[in-house]
Amino acid sequence: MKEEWLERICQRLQGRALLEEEVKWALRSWENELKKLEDKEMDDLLGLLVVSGKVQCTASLEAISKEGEEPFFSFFAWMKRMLRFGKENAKLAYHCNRCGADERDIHLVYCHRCRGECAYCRRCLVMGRSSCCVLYYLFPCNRRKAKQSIHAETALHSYPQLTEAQCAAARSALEFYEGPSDEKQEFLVWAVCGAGKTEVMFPLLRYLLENGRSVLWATPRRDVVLELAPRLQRAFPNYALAVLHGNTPPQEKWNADQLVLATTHQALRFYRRFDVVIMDEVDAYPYTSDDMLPFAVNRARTLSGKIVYLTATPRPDYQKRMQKPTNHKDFLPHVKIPVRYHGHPLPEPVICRESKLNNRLRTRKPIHTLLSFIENSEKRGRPVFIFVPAIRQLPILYDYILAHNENWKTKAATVHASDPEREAKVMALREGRLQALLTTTIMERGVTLSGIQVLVCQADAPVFDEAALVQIAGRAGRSASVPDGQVIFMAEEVTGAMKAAIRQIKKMNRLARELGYISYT
Amino acid sequence: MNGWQSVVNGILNLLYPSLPLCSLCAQPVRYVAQGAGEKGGTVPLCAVCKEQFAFILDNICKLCGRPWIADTVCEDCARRTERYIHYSRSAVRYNEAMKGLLAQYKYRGDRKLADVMVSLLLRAWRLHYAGMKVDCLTYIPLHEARLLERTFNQAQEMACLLAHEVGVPLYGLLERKKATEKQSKQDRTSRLNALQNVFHFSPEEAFMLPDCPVIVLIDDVYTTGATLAEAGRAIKEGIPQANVYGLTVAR
Repeated sequence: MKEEWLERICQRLQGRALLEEEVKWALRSWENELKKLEDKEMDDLLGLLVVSGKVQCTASLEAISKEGEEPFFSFFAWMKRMLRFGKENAKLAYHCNRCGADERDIHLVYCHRCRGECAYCRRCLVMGRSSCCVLYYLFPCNRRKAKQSIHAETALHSYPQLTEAQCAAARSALEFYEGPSDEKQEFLVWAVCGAGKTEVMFPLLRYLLENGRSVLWATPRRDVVLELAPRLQRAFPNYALAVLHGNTPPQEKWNADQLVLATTHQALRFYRRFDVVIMDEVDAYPYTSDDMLPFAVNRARTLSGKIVYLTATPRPDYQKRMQKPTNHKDFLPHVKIPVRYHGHPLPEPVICRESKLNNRLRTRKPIHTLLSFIENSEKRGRPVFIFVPAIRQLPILYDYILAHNENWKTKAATVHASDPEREAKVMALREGRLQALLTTTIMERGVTLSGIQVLVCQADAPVFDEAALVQIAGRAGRSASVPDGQVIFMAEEVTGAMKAAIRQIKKMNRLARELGYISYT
Repeated sequence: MNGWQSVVNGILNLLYPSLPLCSLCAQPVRYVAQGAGEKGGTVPLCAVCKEQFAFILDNICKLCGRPWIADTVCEDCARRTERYIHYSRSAVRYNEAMKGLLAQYKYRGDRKLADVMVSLLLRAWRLHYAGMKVDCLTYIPLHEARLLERTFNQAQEMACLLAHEVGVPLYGLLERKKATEKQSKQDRTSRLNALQNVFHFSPEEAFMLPDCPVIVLIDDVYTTGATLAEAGRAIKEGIPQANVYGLTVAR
């Protein structure tokens, strides 16, 4: 009886890397039989799993001895050792097997279970505690037989509604996947805001799913997961879609499906499982700031698996990699979708310099750009987004607008990340009850409204880097009916980021014209 | 040239020391508020995080330390017939921010936050117990099973660090023989009932105490006060002359 349990457990949890507590959680929420097991019996079951060789087991946090690490004498290593001499000259270096964290994120404590010194990893603490006394189980994934039910062209043709640009990108992605597996494993799709990058991936997804491959679609934020889930479900009704994020109910959390849509953090629980990982919004927080997430994503794909990055604003390091020559080892294969699905060019932002901006905002002296922008939008009846660098500037700007024009009281509102009425206010703007939203960078992504005009106040602030400005400018001109929209960067000085953002947008428009995608002048 | 880069980085760090990071949100702390006589400057907190805590100052119930009219006794305490501890004080109110911090520390096991908790305890200590001659500190014990599960006793850890800071010895005077369900998952009446006879006095470390010792009990949060009262009762069983006070982080 035990044997078949082991088989079923391995089948159910294949392709995952889980802590002891996560395995117990998974087993308990899966079968009623297992729910009744005592802790001790659970431990025995897990022990059997390890002994049978089906599952690999290590400590989730390991101490690696530092001695004998450097056979090659290096000047800098020697200097480092001299400088470190005053501090704790620990002979043991700790390393987290689960998230790849090093000393900086690992905290030493006294642990009752180990009756001694123990350490835990703070970097992956959100997903469970990885510690010296906690076991880490790696469930290997069964090698699926590769079938070839459909060809790439068939997959492409089953989506006739893609525009020419989207089609070209989808074809490029399919070619990349079919290429030899020992070459480049990363691919970037550089699609401007509103180019329909989700739809571009559908042919590739269909090709993979029909041919029995597994795919992970990872995105940084939970609300994007929730927004995408119905769309993917509708596009692939014959395949079970597992939607994973922090709040997934336990009975769904451990589904073993071919198509998985999850937040990037969830990728930490997978191990060599997916043939393709699609990383959506790879330039967004937290993927860029947390090293654990790229590590997790890399580990979630099979050794011969590929990664596709989707973004509208690749970070400078990715841009540098794309500019290298094709045969360079760091080169990143990519494809650009420079035009929106409706075929109109991107609105190009305009820079307006206003001196002593801060002062004038506070003392409510007239600022020509801002006032004429608001008047203009009011006259044309267009909704407006005004971006400010930080939450504390929202009330200043709000008072400023009210001071100059009383009837904006009911038509303008402020929004920020921790605002509980955020959704309601965006809805109000959509329905026309509000005409202006003053906001921080929280609104730079994902919001699609027709006919918006955008003004960035104090665009020289450090929080407005190139990616942020391009994303903000991408809010305008989203719909086919109103494809233009004023975008103004108002600042005291012109920063490199502002110039780079405008340069990037102009370059995309130029590329689109050259490739003939722009159907309107 | 990563080697040279790190040398340049090192020199720059010497010339322009980088700002300390807030222990809670890991943002650089811009304005280091000098003042309030805080020697505990090793726990930098940025202004935003500091604002989240609702510090309890002087308008408190004399007995249980909850925010009340100053120098009076609140209705819950007036109802209590037997009093085993003289009074209890707390550093902050148990608001959302505190709930989050405690959950992160106690349940998730992020023990680096112990420093933040102890800095809050220190505040309360300086306000209420600094002038008193305290003979020892002690903590609310955990049952062995819970200790194995969580791998640490948060009250013990905080008490240990606090003892270090204020120079008062820490003795473990209590033991918990009976396993109780997690208090956090029970309502008020269940909590009050669950704690009958759960603590035992353990005399091993008590031999160093003077005759009428002043003992301060440390715990993380005071909800009903039942835990502290029971613990006080157990201590008084073992040392009838003891004067027991309570100190918790949250109320």
